[in-house]
Amino acid sequence: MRKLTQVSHRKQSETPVDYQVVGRSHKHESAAKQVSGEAQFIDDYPTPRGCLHAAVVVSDVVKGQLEQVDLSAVAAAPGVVGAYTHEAIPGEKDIGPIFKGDPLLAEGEIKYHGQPVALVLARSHRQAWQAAALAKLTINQQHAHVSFEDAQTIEPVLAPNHMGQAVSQQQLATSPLQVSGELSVGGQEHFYLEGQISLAELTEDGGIFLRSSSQHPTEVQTLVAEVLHVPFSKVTVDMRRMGGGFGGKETQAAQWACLASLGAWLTRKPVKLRLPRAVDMTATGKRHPFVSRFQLAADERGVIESAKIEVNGLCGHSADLSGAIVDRAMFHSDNAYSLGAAEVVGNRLRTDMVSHTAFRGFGGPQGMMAIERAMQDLSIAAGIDSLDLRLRNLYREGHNTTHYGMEVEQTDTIKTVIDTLAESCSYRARREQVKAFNAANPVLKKGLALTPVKFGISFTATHLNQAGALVHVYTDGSVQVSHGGTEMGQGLHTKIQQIVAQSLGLDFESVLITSTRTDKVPNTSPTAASSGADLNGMAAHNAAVSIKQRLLDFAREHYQLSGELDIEDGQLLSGVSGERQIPWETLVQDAYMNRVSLSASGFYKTPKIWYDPAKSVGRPFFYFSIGAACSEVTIDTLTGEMVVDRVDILHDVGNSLNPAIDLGQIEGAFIQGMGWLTNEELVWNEQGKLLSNSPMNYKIPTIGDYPKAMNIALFDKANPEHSIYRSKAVGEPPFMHAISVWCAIYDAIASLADHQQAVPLNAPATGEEILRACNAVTQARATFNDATEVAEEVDNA
Amino acid sequence: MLQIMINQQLETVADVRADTMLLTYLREQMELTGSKEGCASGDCGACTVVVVELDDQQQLRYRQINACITPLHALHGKQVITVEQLKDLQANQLHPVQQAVVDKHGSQCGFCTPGIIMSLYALSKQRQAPAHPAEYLAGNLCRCTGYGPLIEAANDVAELAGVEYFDPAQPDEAAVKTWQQQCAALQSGVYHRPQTRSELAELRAKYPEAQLIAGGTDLALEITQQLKDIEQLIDVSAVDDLQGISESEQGWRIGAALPLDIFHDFMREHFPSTDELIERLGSLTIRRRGTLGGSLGHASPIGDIAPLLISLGGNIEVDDGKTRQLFAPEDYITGYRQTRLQNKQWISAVHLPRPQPGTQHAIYKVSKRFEDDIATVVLAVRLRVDDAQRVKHCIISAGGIAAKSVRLSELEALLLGQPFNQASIDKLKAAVPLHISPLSDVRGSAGYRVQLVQNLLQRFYLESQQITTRLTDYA
Repeated sequence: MRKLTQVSHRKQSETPVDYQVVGRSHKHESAAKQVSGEAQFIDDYPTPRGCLHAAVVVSDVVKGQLEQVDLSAVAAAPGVVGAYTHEAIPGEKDIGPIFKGDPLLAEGEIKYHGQPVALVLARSHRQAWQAAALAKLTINQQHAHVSFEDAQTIEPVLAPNHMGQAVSQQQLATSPLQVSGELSVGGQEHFYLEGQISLAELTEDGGIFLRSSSQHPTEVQTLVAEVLHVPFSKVTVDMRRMGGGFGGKETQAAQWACLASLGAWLTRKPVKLRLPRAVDMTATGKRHPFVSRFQLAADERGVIESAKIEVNGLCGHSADLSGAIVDRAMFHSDNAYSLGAAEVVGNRLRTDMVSHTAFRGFGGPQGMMAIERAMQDLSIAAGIDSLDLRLRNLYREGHNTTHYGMEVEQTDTIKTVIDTLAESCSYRARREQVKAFNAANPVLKKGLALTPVKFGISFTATHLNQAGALVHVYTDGSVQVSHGGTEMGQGLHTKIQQIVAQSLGLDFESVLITSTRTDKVPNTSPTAASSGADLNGMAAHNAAVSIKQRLLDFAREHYQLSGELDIEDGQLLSGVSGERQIPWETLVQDAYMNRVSLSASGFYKTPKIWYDPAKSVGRPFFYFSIGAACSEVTIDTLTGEMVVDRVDILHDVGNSLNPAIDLGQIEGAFIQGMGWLTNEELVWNEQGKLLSNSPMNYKIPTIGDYPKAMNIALFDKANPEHSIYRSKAVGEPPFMHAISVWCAIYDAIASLADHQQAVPLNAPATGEEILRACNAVTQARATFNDATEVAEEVDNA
Repeated sequence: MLQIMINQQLETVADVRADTMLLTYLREQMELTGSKEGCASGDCGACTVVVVELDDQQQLRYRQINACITPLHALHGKQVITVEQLKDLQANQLHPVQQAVVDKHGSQCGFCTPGIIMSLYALSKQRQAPAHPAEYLAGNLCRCTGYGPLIEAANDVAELAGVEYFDPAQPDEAAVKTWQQQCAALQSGVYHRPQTRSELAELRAKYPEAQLIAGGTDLALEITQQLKDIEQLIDVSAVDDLQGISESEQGWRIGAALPLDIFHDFMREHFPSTDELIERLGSLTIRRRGTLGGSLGHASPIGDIAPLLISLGGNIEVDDGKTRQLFAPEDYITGYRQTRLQNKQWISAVHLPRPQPGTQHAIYKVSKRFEDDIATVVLAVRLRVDDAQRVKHCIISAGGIAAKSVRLSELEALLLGQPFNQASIDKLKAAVPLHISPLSDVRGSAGYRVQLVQNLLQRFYLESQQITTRLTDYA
């Protein structure tokens, strides 16, 4: 009987605390409200008077020409107030965030299954969705291009991208060892627990006040304004918290926000649009499926001399963010390894599907999967343990330039992290135990793998690396902060609260973070790319520092102080040992009476970064986040079932801003990544309709999937770059620690052929995929043995 | 008249449709928005609330349920506790269950959190701590935390189970109990809850269009996912004839409306080989509501109960208020979601014979996810060998490989009389592709299903030879 697991051991190595507030494990700012049910999400706010509920009519056809939209039955249904097609849109009809190609409502062409065709407004949520189902769409169906093979035959959404230098087949052939292969990596449904939702109200100025569960309020603001053809200044977006985002509310929230706003604009009544789960799963973009091809050439010891890697992102019907996503896959197709002479090609293929989008890691995980699968194959070709092969190929002195010309500066840290983890998780001893287990058991096989993560931090679109914040000090001394980042559970507001308290010299409770609003901090970047705390934290810090400096300048003059001045623990301290103390509240009150501004905005832009897209060289990343993970799994070779026995993670977050929150990010990202690579399988039928469209048939990890033993430690080392309190970003990088699980599965299957055969394993490694790979390896082994016997017979003859 | 105690408040509800779900009522009518809608299909648990009701011994029992798929009327005469009730607002003091989650950093985005809290609250109210406290969270999805802190919180909360302490969420248990004992039966023109066999028969005749409902964990999806309106429901869960388990010399009669969690306790004791299968039938939250009759009533091709019954030699009892009929499950189920159930009939019970000594039985489920997932394949084998190690008796049943759950008689015939050894198993495996032709779908391809049936037969043999084949054995 499988037991639901207990946590056997969770290491919590707290960073040394140099600060009073930053670096401490403060509880999530909303924790108490979340457990009591008081934390409000958009659907929880009292419904405004006269509020209408919206639904969308979606296409049940994957691709075709929209001949006729008959909404007569919809309009006649109980409770319906109105039903509208694209013709009702007063302004811009295309809401593509960077490139055009994303119609708000279908016009002429049906591009994907689940595409919104009409907007329905009714008195209740249920009435609206019941009515929407009555629409009659006449669509002239066309062939849909769904598969990788099909996608290669049509125009891509964007032109291919090249990095590195051209590597010829002759060049690869000069090395003694060569491996090549193709890997399919599936996409992933975000499955944020709170589905897409927006609530729009008309303002008296003829604009819109909008609540949208969005990671990118500014983009929602601008798109709504364009759709309604009003100035940006007339649209305000308010976002207190999301019930999860994970990238799925970076661009994908805009459509529903625009539709709700359109409804409010047309009816002059508040409109709420909330997607039922199955619609959300069908009609919004997901993580890109990728098919990658690799060729590695190495010396006898397995040290890579040259590499050729092609990553193919299946982007769906439009570009959305696919350009940057495939770029990031290319940037991470080295992971932590020096590839020697390397050529990396990235294709952005079009498929007739919903447009795939951002998801934690943003293409990085797919890029890393290609090289990690190649490392597993190469370790078999070289006949050495996969950890030894990885160690030999790490970026190192003299071999620390990436294929896009950026130098990896923390090569020592990469090595130290891996060595430390290999030691703490007893990798070598467990390798022997795994071998012994596999020799003794005919059915169950264990696998072990230790994989590194090196993840670049910064938006690769350089202009997005800017942020703003607004800090107010009120006359009672209390502090309110708004910043450009959004809270989706990751603890951003908690960290910013700590940063502002620390930077002002106050305690944690003195600071309140309010909802993210486009009328408080304008022109913001999405909360994405793990950048939330790095960018907004620094902006908030800069605002706090300006206020503090004003107060210190004022105090020096007003109280006639000389020498050192600082604010600590809510006291103004003067003199070397702080002889004179003035309470913060008094200081603030006196400053106000003397007409000192107690409010400041802060701004930050990331230094050092640059990138030349024409030459594909530059320093796209401010720094790298570093870590390593070791996983042990057991597979059942009869059924393909798998359990994760033990996971050890060591991860570098620089000086942790909040160890508890960082550990939570690491653990949560790991499990989410494990889901992506194991059980979470997106299934489309041949026509291009999503079959895995509900939690009944798309299975994210449950509590029982938690590894039987899980050890997570923070690697304690300040960020050498001047980031906020020398911390490092944490949102995405740990997601890729889950690749160790997939590699351990690979390792377990490889044991069926004594690690003599490369394993044609794809992702996700579902039970079916594991069993398929077991079959393939067993057959290859048998063929190999037959061939050897024949060869021996020939020899003997 | 529909009466429900919601938290500490007695609600008398009038003019509510039969298909109104508890969650809709809480959020839209009561303005209790702490319980969330994450999926409206009982899969995510964000809507979890605790229902407090009288058990057989007239004691109050606390069970977590999915508010999104529980009809409001099904809660007549019961108390519902929602997340809003737990915090002591006057003292601004969190409930110990809430504090445990805060202390472990167990909330990130917070959307699943109220449901997590209520599952943990149900755990804290059990009379004894379960062996695996985290089982209480098997029906709660969390996409942020990765569950580590929640497992720790569950372990802490389990220490409250069976301990006498003042529960600020339930200050006066005695009053709740008294009210429940005195509450009159439900009177409703749209939702009927008969108490006896004859009442049920009358209602069946009077409302031929009405749908039967027990736990509603499947039927509710027609309402919440397909958005169908259902005007009339007959709830069989209070019919005395469909309750409880009675024992005879031949075996047991198990009421069709018995919730699956209670059925699980019984099976664990008398048929331990079925324990894992039933634990994996939905989540604990679903098993609190789901019933045997419900599972068999809709005859899902992948329902786990039918192959289980076939392999145990069980029978399905069908009733119309006058005549009881017994069917072997493989005869009762006639096709894809088709059964022999006539218009005025209902499933009243399941009969299970006592296990015969010397019989080996196993039932295996393979699904994408271990917990709370629909099977790709279920395979059950019951087998007895004679003194010469020849197969004397054999039943092989399966789900997920045809339009309905099936008994694989052709395979059985190949094994009967043969020596129980690897050579016979090899022949059996070779014959599998000739006798089954499963479909490919979202849960697996036809080829995978064929190989699973072959390999599960292999597993059965290996297990009989005491060879470890299960990931779960050594877990």
